[in-house]
Amino acid sequence: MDKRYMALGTSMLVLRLLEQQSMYGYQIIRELEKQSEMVFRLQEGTLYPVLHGLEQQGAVAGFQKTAENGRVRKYYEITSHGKRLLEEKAQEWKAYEKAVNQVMGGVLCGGL
Amino acid sequence: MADYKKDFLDTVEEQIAYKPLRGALSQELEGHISDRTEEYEALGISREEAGKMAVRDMGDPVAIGTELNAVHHLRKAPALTAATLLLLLLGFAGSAFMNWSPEQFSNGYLYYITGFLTLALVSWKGYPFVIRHSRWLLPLAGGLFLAGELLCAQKTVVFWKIRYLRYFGILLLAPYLILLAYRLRRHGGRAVLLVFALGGGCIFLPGYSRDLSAGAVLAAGVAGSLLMMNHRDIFTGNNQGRKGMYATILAGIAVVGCLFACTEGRREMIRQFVNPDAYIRSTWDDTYNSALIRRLLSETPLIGGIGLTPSELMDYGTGAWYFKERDPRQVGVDALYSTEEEKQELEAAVARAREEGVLPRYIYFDESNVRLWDILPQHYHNNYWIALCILLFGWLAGAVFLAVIGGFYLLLFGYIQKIRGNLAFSLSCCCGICLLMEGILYTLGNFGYQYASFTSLPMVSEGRISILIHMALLGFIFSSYRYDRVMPEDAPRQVKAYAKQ
Repeated sequence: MDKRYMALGTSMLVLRLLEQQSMYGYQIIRELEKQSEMVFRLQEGTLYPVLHGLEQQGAVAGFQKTAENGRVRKYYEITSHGKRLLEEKAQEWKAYEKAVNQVMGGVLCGGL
Repeated sequence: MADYKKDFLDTVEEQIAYKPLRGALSQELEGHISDRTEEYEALGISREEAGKMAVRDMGDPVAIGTELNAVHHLRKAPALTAATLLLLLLGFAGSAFMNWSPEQFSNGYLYYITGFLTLALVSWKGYPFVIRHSRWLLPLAGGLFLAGELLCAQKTVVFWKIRYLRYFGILLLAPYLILLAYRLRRHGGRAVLLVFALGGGCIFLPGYSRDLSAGAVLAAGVAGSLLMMNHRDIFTGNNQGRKGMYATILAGIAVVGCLFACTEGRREMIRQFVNPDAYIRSTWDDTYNSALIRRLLSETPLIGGIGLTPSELMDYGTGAWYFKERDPRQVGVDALYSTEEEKQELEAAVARAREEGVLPRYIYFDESNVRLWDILPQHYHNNYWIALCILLFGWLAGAVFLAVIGGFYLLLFGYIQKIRGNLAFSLSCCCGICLLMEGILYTLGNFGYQYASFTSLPMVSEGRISILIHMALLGFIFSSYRYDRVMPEDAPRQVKAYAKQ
């Protein structure tokens, strides 16, 4: 898949998950695997450039929370700007999906 | 196991160019690896194997580090740096050029060096300093401001020594209030109202009437920044929503705007700004300078300087063009004398004028040696750079000069717009609007519409103190842009630890 759409897809999914609740990086990976029934399995470290990029855009905000085992975790929560960005990304994704379906549909029909 | 993790984290860190950031990034990744390791261990995998698998799951450390470095890196602003240096050089050369006029000689121009050093220092350390020390910086700066005000209220000797600093104190109040608004952003509309109350209260103080141009810069800087902050949804924790916040800010602007016309003195200041001719009493008035500048500009051609005969120059130089028909006592007194008798006659004429309440202007030139310099508002050449450029070289040159200044501001705000960090953006926006507002008031003054006291044209027309303040404001924008991608704007908010089950 085109790298741009990979990035678009990842950041869109991350924003969608954060829209449900605030999470830390590892939790996002787990949730992504769970909700996609193990279809989306990222190289886990690649999540962090995406998260930090979203944080810099003001789409998510980070805060620290200490777990009961004493580990300090950085949580991310979606901002109102992030919610708007999610809507935009979802629209962009739909356009991409529609275009792919049209082409694939056309090829399939042509072959019949 | 520790080696796998350590090797991985070390490799990621090596890709991060900004070293102070390495620790925090590494800590976050380490936490992730530890969580994954524990999960594998829970599945019965040995500790060492679990650690190895957790590190493998992370992916390529070089790629991760490189991507993180692409997100977090120091930025340079070459175009803005070049434009700033160009304008500083222009101002420096202009100051030297102004020294051709004896009135300007006493000012010197070496303060451009201190200005440049301030710019370099604040660009280098400004934003990190504010981020790290804002908790004590806010009360300290507020305390200093209040202490200064108390000293001013006493009208003691100290007041007369520091009263010129007051203008700049008001100017610096703008970024101070925006920093305060940012710190209280989670209170939404209440934070905005507090900022307007503090800023408005300052403008409302009677002692500020003389410095209302600084008040206008303060009001514009704060109001503009609050609007931009709201546009970026920086205010959280309010129930008003973005539109409600806009309404609150606009209401605040309306109230503060009314403070500029809340007394007869302030209303007169506005009338003088709009219609200076109605307030000219003598050649010493700023309103007279405005009328003179407008008259001279109207006689200047598109290309080439204004061409005046010695007789016309004398007319303008003595104020006769304006006062001859109105109040001849205000026409400048010929102060050239060659004998003791002539000197005594002059002194007697001056004494008579003073008795009549007239403050005479001494004229030390005649038709044989009068120059354009002699007819321009005395001692104020620095305040009329743009007008002077037009008078000396024509309207086309003036338009080019204005285009250069305008281009600089466009570039400046282009850079500010690229700042992503909310605090960095808010403060830079405020500093930028203050610099812009100073430039706008200065430009209006150059076309004969002067509001309250003179402002400076940042970088180009500067004084000893103004250049320090302007360079600090500009340096802060540079610094915010530079550190925007590497410094978290806030120490991460701490949330209470989980309650143990």
